[in-house]
Amino acid sequence: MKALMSVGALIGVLGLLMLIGMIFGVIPSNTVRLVEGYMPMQVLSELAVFVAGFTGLSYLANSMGVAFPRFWQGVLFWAFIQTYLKFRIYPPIPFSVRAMYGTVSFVAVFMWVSANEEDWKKFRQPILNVLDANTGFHKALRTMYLILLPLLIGGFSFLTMKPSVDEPIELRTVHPAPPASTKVHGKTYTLQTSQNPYRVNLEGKFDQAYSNKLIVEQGMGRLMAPNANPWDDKAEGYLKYVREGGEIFFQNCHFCHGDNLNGRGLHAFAFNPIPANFTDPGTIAQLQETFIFWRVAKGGIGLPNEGFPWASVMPPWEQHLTTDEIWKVILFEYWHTGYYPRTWD
Amino acid sequence: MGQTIVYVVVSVVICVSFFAAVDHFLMDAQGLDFWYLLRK
Amino acid sequence: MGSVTRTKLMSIMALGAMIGLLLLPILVAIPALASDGGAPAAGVKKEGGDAKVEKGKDVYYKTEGIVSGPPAPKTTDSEKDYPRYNFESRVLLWFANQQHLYYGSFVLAVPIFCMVIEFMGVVTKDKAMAKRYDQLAYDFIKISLTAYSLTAILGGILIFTFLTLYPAFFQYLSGIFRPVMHIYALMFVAESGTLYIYYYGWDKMKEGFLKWIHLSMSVVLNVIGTILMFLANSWIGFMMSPAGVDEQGRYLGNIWHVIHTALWNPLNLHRILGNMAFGGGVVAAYAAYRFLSAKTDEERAHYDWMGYIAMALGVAFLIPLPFAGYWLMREVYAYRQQMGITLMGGLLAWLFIIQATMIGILFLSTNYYLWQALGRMRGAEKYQRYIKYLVFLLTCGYLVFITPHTIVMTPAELKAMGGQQHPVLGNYGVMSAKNGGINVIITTTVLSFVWYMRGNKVSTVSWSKFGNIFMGCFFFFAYLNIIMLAVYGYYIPANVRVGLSVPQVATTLSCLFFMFALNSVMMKGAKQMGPIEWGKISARSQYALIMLATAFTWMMGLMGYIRSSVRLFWHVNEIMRDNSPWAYTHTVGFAANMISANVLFFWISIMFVFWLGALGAKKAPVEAKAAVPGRAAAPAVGH
Repeated sequence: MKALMSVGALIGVLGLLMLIGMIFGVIPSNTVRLVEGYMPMQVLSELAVFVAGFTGLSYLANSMGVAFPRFWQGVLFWAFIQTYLKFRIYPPIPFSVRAMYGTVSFVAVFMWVSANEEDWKKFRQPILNVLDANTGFHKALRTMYLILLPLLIGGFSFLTMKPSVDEPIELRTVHPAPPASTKVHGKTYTLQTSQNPYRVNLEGKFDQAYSNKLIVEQGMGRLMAPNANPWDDKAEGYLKYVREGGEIFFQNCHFCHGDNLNGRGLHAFAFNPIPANFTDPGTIAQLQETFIFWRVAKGGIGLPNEGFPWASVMPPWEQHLTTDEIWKVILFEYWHTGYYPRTWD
Repeated sequence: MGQTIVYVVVSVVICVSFFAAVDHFLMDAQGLDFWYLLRK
Repeated sequence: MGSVTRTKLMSIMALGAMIGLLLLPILVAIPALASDGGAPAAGVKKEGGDAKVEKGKDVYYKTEGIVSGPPAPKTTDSEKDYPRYNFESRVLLWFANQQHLYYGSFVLAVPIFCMVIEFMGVVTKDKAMAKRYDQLAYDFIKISLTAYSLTAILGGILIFTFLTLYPAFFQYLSGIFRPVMHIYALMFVAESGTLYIYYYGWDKMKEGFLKWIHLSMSVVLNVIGTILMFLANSWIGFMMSPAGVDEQGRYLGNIWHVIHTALWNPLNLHRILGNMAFGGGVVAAYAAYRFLSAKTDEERAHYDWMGYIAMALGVAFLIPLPFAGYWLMREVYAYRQQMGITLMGGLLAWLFIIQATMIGILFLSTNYYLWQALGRMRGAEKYQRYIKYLVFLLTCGYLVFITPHTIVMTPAELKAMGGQQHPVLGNYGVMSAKNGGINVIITTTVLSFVWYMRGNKVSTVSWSKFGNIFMGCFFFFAYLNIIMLAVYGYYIPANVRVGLSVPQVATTLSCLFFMFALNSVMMKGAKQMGPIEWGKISARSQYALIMLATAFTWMMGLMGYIRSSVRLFWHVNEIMRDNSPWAYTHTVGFAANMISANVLFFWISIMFVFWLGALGAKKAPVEAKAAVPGRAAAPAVGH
């Protein structure tokens, strides 16, 4: 048991040292890399490791007779979570999310320290000591808080209410609800039921299962599926359409959406909002092909107001491409990113 | 100690097979394939 | 005894009358339904003498039917269609509706509580406990009576608001639902009659055969109440997902089609569970309030116990609630993808983040209460040091659960992030992760409950070591399975991923059922380390109960608002357009303020109801009665 706790303590100390290094910029945030594809679980695992580490430290301290006051355990752990979220995770998390996480972790720390009466008494003791101010030290502390707290609160209020020159926050809906149907080049498409005419199997029938087997593999290698090279001269049917879609993509779309379809094209950072990152699981991976068809055909100005049509520079491609070309481009996008379009059956 | 290990092994076997069965049959009941990724 | 036989006879007659009242409206309605063309689907009813029979196609069922009603009115922004005060009519209606729903939910939940608790009182072998359960059920139904009349008053206010402020709409709706509304009104007669006989006959039907009659009455009462709610749900289901009418809104003669819309049953299930959870919360908060203001230890013990029972029943129904909600959302998506996206991807998406926050608060409060409750049992100390790990699990699940998909950020933060999506947080923002998060939270709640159940006991069965190891393994692999399914969802197509929630739910529910069952088997004849010291619980736990009740109330208001506003500018989705000046969606801030105002008003008024209940109490407390020896010798329960 002691050995286990010692190992835990060691890990905890190492982790803390690294975090402090990141806070002060001594080591970069990506020292321990957030592995692409495993990042969400990695963050949770790291937090679990830290918790185990702190438990080990606390256990060791107790067994050595050094009691680490519950009050400071709670406060420091909460501070640790805040600094972890701010300095370890890259790219930086927006403040609004950190505020939400901070509130939740505050409640969690409270639940932890007040779970039973004994712990709660231990936690409260330092606070009560300062409030009671029975010793000279605590008296001084209490006076200091009396002066400091109003200053801090006042200062914080002032800073919050001070007008800033930053652009105001926009709450743009990233996935507005699509219309029930859209008319492109004189033909009306019902979004819930239309299908991509080029997602066909060897018999020429719409077959998503067939195309799903031929897409690029997800994960770090991004390898093509075996015998599924669209640029093979002998490629037929679906793969040929993917190639044609790819050609259209690289003639029209990659300038903004990037040659890796990750929204990092040449012009990407000239715009706000920047072009969509198709490799992100929150974009085309979640959407039906007809939704993409609507977006591509109608462009930014075709968005409903909640999607901020005035802010988007997505061209209405129906003015430049035929519907067949649009469907093929969509086919290519799903092939390249290795995602399956959302279906209902 | 040995008895504990036996208990652990038996429990692990029961639990893993139970949850695998739950996953498989409940996906099957919806007409979906739980082992999708492994079929490729 | 002659009087006993007469009482018996009267009781059986009363029960029979209740069942008759219950069935009568349905029996009366059958000929009315038949002549309305009640035969479903393609049955063509020959309307003799009608020269021109116009047919229409059902917008949902796609069957043919004979047009039997006017088309949906095309309203205009005028005094005729939308008479108004110098105030937004919609807000007035919202207020009336919400209060009626709160009280209606409460008076439907309390009889279910009474039924369960009275039943427990009848089957418990411990006589003292049986009396306490019985008295508790009686106290609950007493509170319910005042609330019941308030529900009816609010229902009347609601109908008047509809009639005066939305006459065109209400005329259309009542034209279609005419028989349903009549049955609804008649069912109130049945409900009132049953409720009054159930309440006032409590003492007379205390023992033996009469007690079973009384219990049956409670069942009938609940059946009537549930049917009432189902009927009301049909109107809402129709407004959201109309069926039984053609594209112009003309009724096609099949009353079952207009009732049985796509969303009717998901709403029914969700509301039954929600009622119970909400009712449990309200009663628990009442008990918490009485606990905190108690002057004696007996009072504290009594209200601690009451709070625990109410919380346990409420949370028991809370646990399946997210799954019922998920089913409701799936049906919304299946009915109209647009509506689904408006709800969770578009305009109303932020409301769902607020909902996620509230759900987390609910489960965290429940867990916290249970940990405090462990403190009043000797022997539960062994679990105390593991609580921090439960906190960690709950927190991780909660953080994942509340992560929004659309993040509020300044443009500077947007540039730093390099895009709208964060590579780590973006993954938390989608459904696959969220299902995992909430299932982890619920499994942890189940674990807390199991610890509470075995808190002060040590198992003495021969296989207890294996049992403990098995339980530990089961929970461990349950967590593993849930998280694995959540991660798996990212690598498979959407239509397969959506199905993964079912095994996740099943995993959580397996924990609930199997672990509870295994635990109770293991705890048979267990050595008690000490009794449960009712009343010796921290004040913080009572605040947790109040938090629970407030969160429930707020969530009900929120989800009701979401349900209503998903219709956007339609009174009846895609059938009857809303042409009032208020056919826009409120800002999230306004909606939140309105919900809070509703919650505040409800809690102030229910405090008044509780005060009224206490006002009428002249009887001596239960404990004094139970102590009288003569009582204990009363004829045993059961024949």
